[in-house]
Order: sequence, then structure tokens, then C-alpha cells
Amino acid sequence: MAAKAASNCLELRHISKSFQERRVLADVSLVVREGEIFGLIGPNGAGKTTLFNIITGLVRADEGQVLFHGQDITHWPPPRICHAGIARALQLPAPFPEMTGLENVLIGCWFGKRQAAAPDSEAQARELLARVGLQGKEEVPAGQLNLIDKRRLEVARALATRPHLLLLDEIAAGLSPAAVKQTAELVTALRDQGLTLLVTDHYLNLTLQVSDRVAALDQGEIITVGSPREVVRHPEVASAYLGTREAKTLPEAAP
Amino acid sequence: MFRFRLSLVLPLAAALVLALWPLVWAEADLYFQVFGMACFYGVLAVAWNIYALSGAISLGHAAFFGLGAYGSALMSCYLQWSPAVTVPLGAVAGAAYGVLWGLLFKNLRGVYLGLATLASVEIPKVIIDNWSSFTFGSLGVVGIAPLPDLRLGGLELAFGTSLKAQYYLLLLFLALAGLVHRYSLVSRWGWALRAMRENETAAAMLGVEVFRHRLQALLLSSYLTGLCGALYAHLLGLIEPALVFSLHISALPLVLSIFGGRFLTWGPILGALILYPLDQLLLQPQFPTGHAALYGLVIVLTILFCPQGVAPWLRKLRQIAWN
Ligand SMILES: Nc1ncnc2c1ncn2[C@@H]1O[C@H](COP(=O)(O)OP(=O)(O)O)[C@@H](O)[C@H]1O
Ligand SMILES: [Mg+2]
Repeated sequence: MAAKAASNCLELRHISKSFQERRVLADVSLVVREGEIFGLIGPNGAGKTTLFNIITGLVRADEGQVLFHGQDITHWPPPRICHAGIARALQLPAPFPEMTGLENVLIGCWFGKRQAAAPDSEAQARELLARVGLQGKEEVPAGQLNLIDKRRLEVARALATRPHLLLLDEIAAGLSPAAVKQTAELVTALRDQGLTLLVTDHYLNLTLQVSDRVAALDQGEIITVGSPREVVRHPEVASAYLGTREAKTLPEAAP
Repeated sequence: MFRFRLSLVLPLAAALVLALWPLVWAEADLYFQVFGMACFYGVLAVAWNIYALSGAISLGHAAFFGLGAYGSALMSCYLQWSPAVTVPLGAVAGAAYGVLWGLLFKNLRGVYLGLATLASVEIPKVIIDNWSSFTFGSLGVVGIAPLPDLRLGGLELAFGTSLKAQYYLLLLFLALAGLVHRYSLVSRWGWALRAMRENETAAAMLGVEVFRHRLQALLLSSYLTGLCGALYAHLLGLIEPALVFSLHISALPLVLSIFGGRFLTWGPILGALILYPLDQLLLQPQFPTGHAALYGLVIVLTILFCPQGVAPWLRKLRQIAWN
């Protein structure tokens, strides 16, 4: 591990993707270092979710490669990518609706990593649920949880697979200021535990606050990468967010 | 604790009743036949449901049934092997077609999968219909060897001729299928099927190997269905393509499973044990021509009024009775 500490966790090389002639990602290259929180910001429709879909194997890139700990995982199927140690909380929560919250998390415990069959997965699952703030809702069918709780469940379930790298899509969407603060604490605590995190947000606040480094994505292209401070000062980032170009909504105006 | 014991006691009691009533009522050939076939369709329903548990609704299980029937019948006819060998081997024909489905229909879901499975019954049917020199074509195979008799010490089980012995054989077959079904619901593997049924994308991202587990379910499902077809050929003594590749064979297990309750261990079995005798003993004598419409009516009513099937009702009744 000591040798790896300095190395790259995730590397994206020249990723491009089009949907029906529409270029959604154009030559995206990025490096996420081991143990950092990497923020990916960009307005709605910038291509953040598509990039996550490519990393987790749900969508095939037209060009480019995804490397995880130096290994090319570009065309691996999603379960194999999960077993390798990448987990993700979806932007639109996708719980197993008829299962309870606890059972949802247990699926992650049981199938996430083959080698390490945890002796007491149930205790572990309960702990994870408590950690994301779902204590007392273990037995509620996931389909009946409200949106915020479903998002929390996404995170607990992803953590249950014991990932090295956690992808969080739109971590702050729809959260109250208090919940945003909790999420920020959780994300930082996870990083301090040794996880690497890649987070997106179309609101800037949370991402800029917790991230060690940030990349700004606009219309499928990386505009700049750097510390949060550097990135917000970048003139193109400002224009992307202030809507000086036509057909660009203000981030705060989006749902 | 009580609930656990009760959930075990009830099926055991039911199994005992099913096993012991022929001792009390020794000469009841009609009932041996009807309840024997109810057990048979119970196995077919379980077999269909195992694949359905992975989130795939098949409209073409007659393909496996027909291939199992022809596999065993032709093997027995040409090689003169005992049905005790040709039944398990013949069913492999069904399973092989199942694997082919699994590979070809890998990316089909929902309605598209349903249509593909429905259409895929025609391929083996047309081949068998037209390859007369080998399969006897649309005339079918007649004079298929009956099931062999079995001697256990002083006990003689004439599976070929005694309806009572056949009833016990089919009851045993159903009990085994029930155990397989239970495994498909409560084991780790069963949870994998459930996860992919409830949300396939989420399951895949949480490490559930969707393709592999669904293929395993289909393999098990198609082999069991092939076994049913093979047994059917030897129980009946004659088969023809229009009979074993019929839409009825594809639709019946679906109706029985949905009526009984697809997500409870005893659901599909309950569906078969209720509906088939109801049809054969009450409706067929009254309406000899239109009785099959029962199944159509039942499926419409079930889907409209209790989409979870009747098994959850019974469970609720049991809870009320207990409290
Ligand atoms: N499956 C798809 N088919 C067609 N277009 C898509 C698909 N997925 C995403 N897009 C388009 O790609 C663009 C980027 O979307 P997305 O990655 O969701 O952006 P973000 O997550 O940054 O808001 C959007 O214009 C969206 O409409
Ligand atoms: Mg998005």
C-alpha cells in the first residue's frame, strides 16, 4: 500500500462519447490520485453522469481508456468493476424497491467483493445505515423511503461493497443545508479512512468545500483542473456558470 | 419462533395429506390421475418461475418441454434404452436450447424477450414437423415405452400401469421441485436473482453477476421443463409436435405461478394444486368444450384483483388465525 499511496487511483485517457451524433464527452483526460477527494463540477448536461457511466461500465466510451490502479478496465462489465473496488451512488436513486433498507445494503455486502465474505454482514449493514443517517428505517421497504433517504441508501449500499474508489453523483442535490453539512462530514471522514472519492455537483458549494482537487467540465470538455480556489477563479468556469453563453442555465436555477 | 415453525408445519401437513389420502381411499383412479397431473403441472410452474425470478417472463417454455419430450421419446424408440435413462438424458435437449436462449437473448428484456421466447418455440417445432424420416413428423411418435416398474423389497411400484404409483412418483417429483424452488428464493443465489429482478442496473453495479446468474436460472428452469416433457412422453405413450410445443404448455405454468403467487415458496405449487383439479373435476364435466377458458379468466382476474397471487392471502389469513 505504501508504494501505491503516491500512485494514481483512477486515470481517464482521451475519453470521447457521442449519443446520436451529439458529442457529449470530447477527449476527457483526468487523473484521480489515491486518497483524495476529487470534485467534478459542471453545469447540467456537461457530461458528468455520462463519464460516471463509462467508469462503472454502464456505457461504452467511443474512444479512450479507463485505468484503475494502472489496470485497463475500459471494457469490463459492471460487476467486475465493482469487484475490482469501484462503487457508485447514482444520481437518480435505484433502490431494490421491495426489499427493506437493510436488505438493500446486504446485497452490497454479499456480492460486492468475492474474496472477503464478512462474518457478520448484518451488523455491518446496520452500521452503514446508521452512518448515512438511516437508523430506525432499516425495516422500511426502500420503495417507500423519500428521495433524500433513497439517496442516503445509495451511499450506504455503495459503501457495503467495500470500495477503494467511491463515485458520488450530485451529492448535494435536494439536500437541506443541515443535510449538506452532514454529507460534507461523511465525505471527509471517508477520505480520512483511506477511501478515494470522485464527486460531482452542479452546485459549487459542497464540492468546492470538500474537494482536494477539482476539474471543471463544460459541454463535454475539461476546462481546467486544480485546487478549488484556482478553478473558481478560472475565467471560462465563470462564464460557464454565469451563463454568458446562450442556452446555459444558471446552476442555481436548475432543480 | 412460532412463525418460523408454522411456516414449516403447514407445508409438511399439506405434504402428509397429499401422501396419505390414497391409503384411506384406495380405489380412486380418477383422483390419482387428476392430482398426479396437478403435481406434474406444479413442477412445470416451479420450473417456469425459476427463470421468472431473475426478472425474465418467458412465453416459450413449450420449446424446452417439447424438446425434452422428443429427446427422450426418440432415444427410447431408436436405442431401446430404459426411460429411467432417456428421461434425464432427453431433458438435456431442453437445457441445451435454454443455454442457446441465454446467449442469443442476452440483451432482450420485457416485451421483446417475451416475443422472442414465444417465437422461438416454432423453430424446433417446424424442424420436428418436417424431418419425418427421423421424428415421424406431424404424425408424432406412438407406442413410447411406459415408465419402468420398480421393486423395492416386497413393494412393487408399477409406474407404467398403476395410476396410484404414478401419483406417488409425481408427488415426489413435486416435493423435489419445491425444494429447488425454495433454494431459488432464500439462498444467496436467490437474493442475486431477486436483486436483478428488482433493479438490474443497481444489481450489476453492486457486484451481482447478472448474466451468469440469469443463465444459471435459465439452465435449471429449462432442464426441469425438459424433464417434465420427457416424463409426459412416457406417461402418455404418444406425442406429436402440436401437442408438446403448444401455446397451452407455455401459458399454463405462467398462469399457475401468477395465480398462486410467484414470490412465495409454495405459490406456484399452490396454484397448480388448486386450479388444475378445479378445472378437471368441476369445469370439464360441466363445460367439456370451453373449460380451458378458465385459465384465461383466472389470469385476467388475478392480475386485476390480486397481482401478488393467492398465497399472500393465505399467509395473511394464517397470521390472523394465529393472533
Ligand atoms: N443515453 C443517452 N442517450 C442520449 N443522450 C444522452 C444519454 N445520456 C446522456 N445524454 C445526453 O448527454 C448530455 C450529458 O448528460 P449527463 O452526462 O447526464 O450530464 P450531467 O450529469 O453533467 O448533467 C446531456 O445532453 C444528455 O441529454
Ligand atoms: Mg448528472
